[in-house]
Amino acid sequence: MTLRTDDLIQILSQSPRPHPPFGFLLLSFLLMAAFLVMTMAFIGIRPDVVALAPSGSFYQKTFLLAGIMTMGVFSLSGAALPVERARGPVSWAALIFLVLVFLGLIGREWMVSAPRDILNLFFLPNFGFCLFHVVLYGVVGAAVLTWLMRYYAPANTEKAARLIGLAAGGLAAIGYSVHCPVDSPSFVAVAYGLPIFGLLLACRLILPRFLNW
Amino acid sequence: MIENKKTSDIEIRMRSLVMETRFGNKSSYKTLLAELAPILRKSAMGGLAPFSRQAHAEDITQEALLAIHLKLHTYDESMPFLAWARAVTKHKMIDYLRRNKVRMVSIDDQDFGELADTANPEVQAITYDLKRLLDSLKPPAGQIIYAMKVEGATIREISTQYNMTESNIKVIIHRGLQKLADKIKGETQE
Repeated sequence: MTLRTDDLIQILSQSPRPHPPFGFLLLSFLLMAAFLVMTMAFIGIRPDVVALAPSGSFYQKTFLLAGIMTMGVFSLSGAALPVERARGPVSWAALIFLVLVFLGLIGREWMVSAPRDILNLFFLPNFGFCLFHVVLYGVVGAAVLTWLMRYYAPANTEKAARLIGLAAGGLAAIGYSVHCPVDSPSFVAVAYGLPIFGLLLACRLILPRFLNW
Repeated sequence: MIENKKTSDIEIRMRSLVMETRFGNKSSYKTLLAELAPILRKSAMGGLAPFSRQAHAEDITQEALLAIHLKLHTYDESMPFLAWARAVTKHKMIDYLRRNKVRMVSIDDQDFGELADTANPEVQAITYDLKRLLDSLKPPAGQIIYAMKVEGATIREISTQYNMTESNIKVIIHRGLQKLADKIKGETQE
C-alpha cells in the first residue's frame, strides 16, 4: 500500500460521513403536501373536494395519477444505489395493470360518450391550465428530488434522472388535480400525461450531469 | 471451493466491520478501509488491463475509497458488501476512462498479440476486442462475464446482483464464453 492511500484512509477514518437528511418516500410525501397547500392557497380546490364529497370520477382520476406517482417514487430508492438491480415481477405487474386500467377507462369513455364532447374538453381553459401547473410543480419537484439524489450514488444516472422526472410529474399531477374539475380519462391522459412525459424527457436530458458522483 | 470459502470469510469480516462502523466505531472503519484497499486495487487493475492503464489503478482505488466514504449509507445490508464496493469501483473506473477518452485497444495492438495467440479459448475470448465481443452476446451474459473475468467478482456476488441462482450464472458464463470462442474462430477464419 502506498503512503498516499494510507494517508487517505487515515483522513477518511477520522472524517464524518455525510448522510442524506431524508429518504425519498418522506421527501415525496412532503412535496405532495407542499403542492396541495400551494393549490389550496393560490388557485383553490374544486368544490366537491372542499365539501368532502368528491365524485366517483375524482377518485378514478386520483387512482390513475397516484399509480404513476407511486411507480416513480418507489423506484427512486432502488435507482439511488450503485448496484443496478433487475426490475422485479411485482413492479412489472403493477405497470401493466396501470396501463391496462388506463386504456380500459379511455376505451369505455369513447364507447359511452360522444367523441365531440370528449374533444371539446381540450378547448377548455383547463387544458392549458393543467399543462402549465403540472409543469411548474414538476420542475420544483424535480429540483428538490435532484438535490436529494446527489446524496446517493445512482448506478445509472440516466435512469435515475428519468425516474426523478416521473416521480416529480406524478407528485405535481396529484397536487394540481384537486383543483382541476375535469376528470375525463382521455383528458387526464393528455393534460397530465403530456407534462409528465415532458418532465421525464427533460430530466433525462438535463439531469444526468448533476447526478454524477 | 477453497476460494469461495475464503471469499465468504472476507465477506463476513467486511460486513461485521461495516456494522461496527455504522455504530460509530472509527477504529473498525479504518480497518475496513485498510482491508478493502487491496481488494479494490485488484479490481481496478483487472478492469484497466484491457485498456493498458494498470498504472492508474492506485488513482482509481483512492477515488473508490473516497466514494465509499461519501456513499456508505447507500450500502444495502441485504446484498454482499464486496459486490457493492466493486460496483462503486467500477463506476469510478468508467468515469476515469470517459474523462480520459480511453477507447478499447484492438487485437492489432502488439501488447495483446501474445495473449491472442494463447490456445486457451477463455483467455483468447476475453482479450480479443473485448467490448465488441461482449456487447454481441445476449444481455446480461456480456456484463456477467466482464464482472467475473475482468473485475474479479464471485459467482455469489453476481447471482445476488442479477437475482439469479448460482447454477444459472455458471450456465450463462459457460455458454457465453463458448459463443465468444466460436465468434473469434469464425472471424479469424474469414
